[in-house]
Amino acid sequence: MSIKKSPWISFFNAGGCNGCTLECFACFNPRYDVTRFGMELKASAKHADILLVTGIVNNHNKKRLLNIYEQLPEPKRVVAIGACAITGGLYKGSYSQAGPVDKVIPVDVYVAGCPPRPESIIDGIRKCLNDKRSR
Amino acid sequence: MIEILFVLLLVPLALVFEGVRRRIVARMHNRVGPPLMQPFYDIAKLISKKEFQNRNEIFNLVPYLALICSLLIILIIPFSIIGFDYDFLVVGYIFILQDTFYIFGAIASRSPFGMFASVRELLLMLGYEITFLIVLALFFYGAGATSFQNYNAEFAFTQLPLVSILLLFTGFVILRITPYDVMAAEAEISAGFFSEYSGTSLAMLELAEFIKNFVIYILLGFLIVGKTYALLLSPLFMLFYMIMLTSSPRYSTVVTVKTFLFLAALAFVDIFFLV
Repeated sequence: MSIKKSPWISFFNAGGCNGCTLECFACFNPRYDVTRFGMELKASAKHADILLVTGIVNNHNKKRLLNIYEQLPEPKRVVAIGACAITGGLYKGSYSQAGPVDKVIPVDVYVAGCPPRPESIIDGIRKCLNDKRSR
Repeated sequence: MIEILFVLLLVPLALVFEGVRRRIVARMHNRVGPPLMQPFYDIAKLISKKEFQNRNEIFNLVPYLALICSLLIILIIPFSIIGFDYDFLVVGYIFILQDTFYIFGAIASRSPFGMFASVRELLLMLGYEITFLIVLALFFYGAGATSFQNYNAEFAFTQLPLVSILLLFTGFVILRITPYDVMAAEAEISAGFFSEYSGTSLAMLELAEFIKNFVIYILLGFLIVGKTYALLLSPLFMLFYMIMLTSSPRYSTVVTVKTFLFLAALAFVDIFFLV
């Protein structure tokens, strides 16, 4: 049995405006209810299969993001959510940034938008589960 | 030996029960909810995942010890395979032992979340474990029985209304249901005891919790409405606890401890009424 049937999810806001994180939380409300795919929100990264990263990575949070990425047990997936996590967005060129998420940790799926709608976040998570690679 | 294998069939039943529980909670939130077989998928996935190595032996042993505790209880409670005199006290002690293992594991993990959970659990133990043991003993005293095998009282809540209410209250803490679930508060202290476990260890802990919760619902039916209706009416108790879970706030640790010390005092007073 793979992580396809019960993907457990953890969030990390690496340094954005928190808008994308709120949209991620909206996936778990009765309107979008992702628990019907077996997904569960886990506070501890050691329980999670998929890490949702929002926001540009600032220097302060780089160490923490690496730490959390290492805490996810194999097999694991990372989804970068929002314009800041993909390119830097509004914060691009800032003095305190360590680059977008894929400069720090490997990313499987990018979900674009500022912020992206919950439907597209759910679609991104489903797509990263169909990925055949085992990293 | 065949009886023991028969009882082990209760383990998949406990997982289905957990699936039904999740569906009920989802319906109360106006959600669709996960599939009925979701606990099986979760356990299978967790076993297949890679686990983090930890050099602490206590930390590594705790999930298996907790699972053994749950399996021991399942041998005694619904069908009383290894029944003996005063086994209700042994059941009470096994529940305490399982919580003690969780505390050991959480402290050995050195996680601050685990530390918080174990300190809160130790505080709560002052109140609810005394109440739980007294309540168990009172039910057996009221029925004139010495073990689960010869417990024949039916509709005991008509004779022991106060004790039945006390039992429902201790159920809140043992099942970690909201008014008194400070030790497993998901929002504040991530997963409490389990926050540092991963892979197979976490699967064992989840399995132990599912079996323990299932047994508690049966135990409530067993004591309050009697042996014959225990399995039939256990979903009703689950429904009651799920209504409480979805509709009540979380009390602070201090309030919880005070409540349970008060309930322990009430249970003591109740002994004198019975004698």
